[in-house]
Amino acid sequence: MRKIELQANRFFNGEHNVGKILLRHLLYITAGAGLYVFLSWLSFAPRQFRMSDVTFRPGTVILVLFGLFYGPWIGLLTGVVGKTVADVVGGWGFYWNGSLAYGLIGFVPGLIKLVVKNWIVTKNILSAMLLGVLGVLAGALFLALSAAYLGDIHLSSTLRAFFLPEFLGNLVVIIIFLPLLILAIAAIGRKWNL
Amino acid sequence: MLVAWRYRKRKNSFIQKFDPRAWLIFYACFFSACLSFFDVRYLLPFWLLAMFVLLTSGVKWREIRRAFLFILGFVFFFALLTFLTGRGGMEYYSREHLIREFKASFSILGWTPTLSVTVERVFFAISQLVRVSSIAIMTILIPYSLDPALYGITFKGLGLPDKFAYAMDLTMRFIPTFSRDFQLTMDAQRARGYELEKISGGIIEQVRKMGPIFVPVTIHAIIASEDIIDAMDLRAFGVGPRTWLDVLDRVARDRILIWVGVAILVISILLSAMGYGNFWVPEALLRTAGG
Repeated sequence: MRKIELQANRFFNGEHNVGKILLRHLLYITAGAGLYVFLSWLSFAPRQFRMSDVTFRPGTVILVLFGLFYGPWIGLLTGVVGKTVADVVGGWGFYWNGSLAYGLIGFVPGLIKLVVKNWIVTKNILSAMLLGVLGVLAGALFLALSAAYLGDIHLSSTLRAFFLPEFLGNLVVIIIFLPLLILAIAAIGRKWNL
Repeated sequence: MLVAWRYRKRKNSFIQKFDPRAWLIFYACFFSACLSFFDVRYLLPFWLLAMFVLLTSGVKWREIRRAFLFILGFVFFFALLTFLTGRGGMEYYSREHLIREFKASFSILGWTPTLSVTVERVFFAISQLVRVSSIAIMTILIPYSLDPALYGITFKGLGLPDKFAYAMDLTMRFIPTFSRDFQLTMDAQRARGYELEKISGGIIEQVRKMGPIFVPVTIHAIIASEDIIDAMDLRAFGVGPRTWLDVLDRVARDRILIWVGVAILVISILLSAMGYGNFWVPEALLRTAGG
């Protein structure tokens, strides 16, 4: 874990040569993005839970989890790649602001690893949840603001149409699944010094 | 263990006559060109091309049935959802021409559920259906016709560095593996009495009840990817240049396919830049609806 944090620090400080990106990082991103795409597909199925415009996308928790465990850059790229692939495979095309918004959901929680030394996810579940909520908040806000700016739509409309459904749906998913996943990972423990 | 998609060598398969690199380049061009349009008249040729590829692919219906029905169900579901809510199409049209309005005979807290059938919504749903199904048909054929043993060398041949090529190879293998794990987990939980079909309760309760499926699948996926990464690290993957066992040859027909793909893409981009292919509804229908 220390090795990954050091890499994340170097990457964040601009010392990391992107051309020499570690295979490990690349595989975390592909695994996270693959998992996100798969879970997105499941939640797109007609059985998906919905309440008016609020949709529940369990895949979002993967982005927060990867951000928390592997740092902000892996969280960001997992979100960007995962959302892009999910949108493209779903036939919706590519929306850079949507992809970046989901990248932020992974990026913001991961920032804690750069700010607090020796921050262990499994021992700080409440803080992890708070960071996850902040990530979801940042992603939903970015989506609403960018939609308002790009589409020349009134902010109150985008807040109602984008922010609320995104934020509320993802909030429920984070509150329920994030602690469950962290507890499950803590129980497994194994080789990870999390 | 990673599992592969259901690939096999097929007799007289049009798609398998080509080098995988040429096919992927053609697919990327087709995909990008298709996304340039939202006019059903421009999208129909793409759909016909996708149908031609499907019918000449040699993939049997019984092989593809499950995935195909799932994707078609998904496409129909979203087209229907867009049609019912009107969301998604608002970026393409500002005014709607009403054909008919259905109002519920009851109200919920002063709100009466209403379904407005407008010309724009109907045509947006049709355009979306044609667009997404064209892409879906072409996408779904890739895992059934591309040899999993050639994933890595194909991406390497497309110009990706070794690490990225191998990462793409693994990504292609992760998705069916996650799907297999999901099925195994669901079967295991069903054997313990878990009934996915009978999930009930409030919204939060429903999400919570997904936990027994969702948590094990996620944890297993993370552990499996860690194991693969460790195994590759132990074998010093990425330390030096990699050699690939398989060799791909590009012949004349592959070059033709690539140029056809590039031509489709360039023409599409030009048409799109000139303002053709935007969302379209027939004038006659607008007049009928009082426009």
